[in-house]
Amino acid sequence: MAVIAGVGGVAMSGATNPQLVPSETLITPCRLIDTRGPSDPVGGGVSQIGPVAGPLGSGSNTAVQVTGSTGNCRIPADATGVVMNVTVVGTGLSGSVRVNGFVTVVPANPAPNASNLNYSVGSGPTPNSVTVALSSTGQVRFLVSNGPVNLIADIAYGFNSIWALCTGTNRVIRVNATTNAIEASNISVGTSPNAVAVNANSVYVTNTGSNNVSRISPTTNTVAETIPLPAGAGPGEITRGADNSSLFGPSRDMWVVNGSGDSVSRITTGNATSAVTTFTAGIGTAPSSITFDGRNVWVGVTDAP
Amino acid sequence: MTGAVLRMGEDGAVLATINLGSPFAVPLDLVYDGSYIWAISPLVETTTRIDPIGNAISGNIDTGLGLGSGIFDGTSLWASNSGSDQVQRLRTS
Repeated sequence: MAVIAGVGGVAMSGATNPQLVPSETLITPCRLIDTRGPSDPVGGGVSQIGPVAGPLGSGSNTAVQVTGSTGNCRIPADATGVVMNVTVVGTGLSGSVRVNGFVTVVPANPAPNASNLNYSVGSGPTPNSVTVALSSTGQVRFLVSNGPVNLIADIAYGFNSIWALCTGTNRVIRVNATTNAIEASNISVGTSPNAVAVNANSVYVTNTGSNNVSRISPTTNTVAETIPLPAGAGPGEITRGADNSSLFGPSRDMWVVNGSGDSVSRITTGNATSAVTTFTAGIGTAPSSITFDGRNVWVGVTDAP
Repeated sequence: MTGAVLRMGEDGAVLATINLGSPFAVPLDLVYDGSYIWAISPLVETTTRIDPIGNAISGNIDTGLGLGSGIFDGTSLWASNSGSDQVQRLRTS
């Protein structure tokens, strides 16, 4: 039995051990806004995308409609939140920033005393991953403490799907969380799929029996890559880790606990072929669980060294 | 089996080890709620709250035998309990 939280609240499944993950409907990354204009030094004569013209000044507080059609994005009306890669680009030479400041992204006013992205004088284009709920009307607001700066916001994915693992048949089922319809019922993965997590453009499934991770393309609902882990690893839980996005697109590391191998693996994503680094020092025995707090990875183990 | 939670950096280095203090306190699941790490340890019928600021245990909740995977919905921690055939909601604030 697993607990899931999807659109509309929390539900419970009593099926024969499919693991259901509250998940994000993955979309092709799209640019919501780009406030740069043809005269800006970075971008090579780019044209403004979306409704916001830059650069943005100090104290600006700008609402942007997310649901519907904005910029290059087409976001479903029932989306309740989005994950974005937000980048500050300065107005100096090569896009350097001329002021110290921060950006806060919120569903609606008033904004909390917090920041999502910080920039400083002389820094180049500065990206960060931002997870934000949408307002009741499907908007977010971008608050800039000090300008002038330009903003780019790329949406990586919005919330809308459930991915169910069928351990006995080595396959994954994709369910539309809005319509409850099965969108893909026979995505073949490795042996004994154990856990699932999503990244900007892919869904990752750990396969305990075959010591690998299947990377599923949400566009084709097929396995785009099989990522090998060390022999005998016995991969279990997986989580999305630190942001390693660039101007070329959003991406985050994935982290896996290897219960049989007494190790933890970091999968560096974002390229055609993922890279795996496996850590054993200080792990102890039989790591069983993992989560990420936005900065560090936390691993539950049976016995610490 | 004593059960512990490790804090790791991006480079794979173990930055801190938080021992959960009792035999069999193996965390079956870890959940981050935006402020705290919650370690669900069904064998000792406990869910433990860890404060990331001090890498210290800041509370324990008796959640009964059989608690399984959990998830945070923005307000509460929800977890299935196969021992009692229930879903439990823990207030995290």
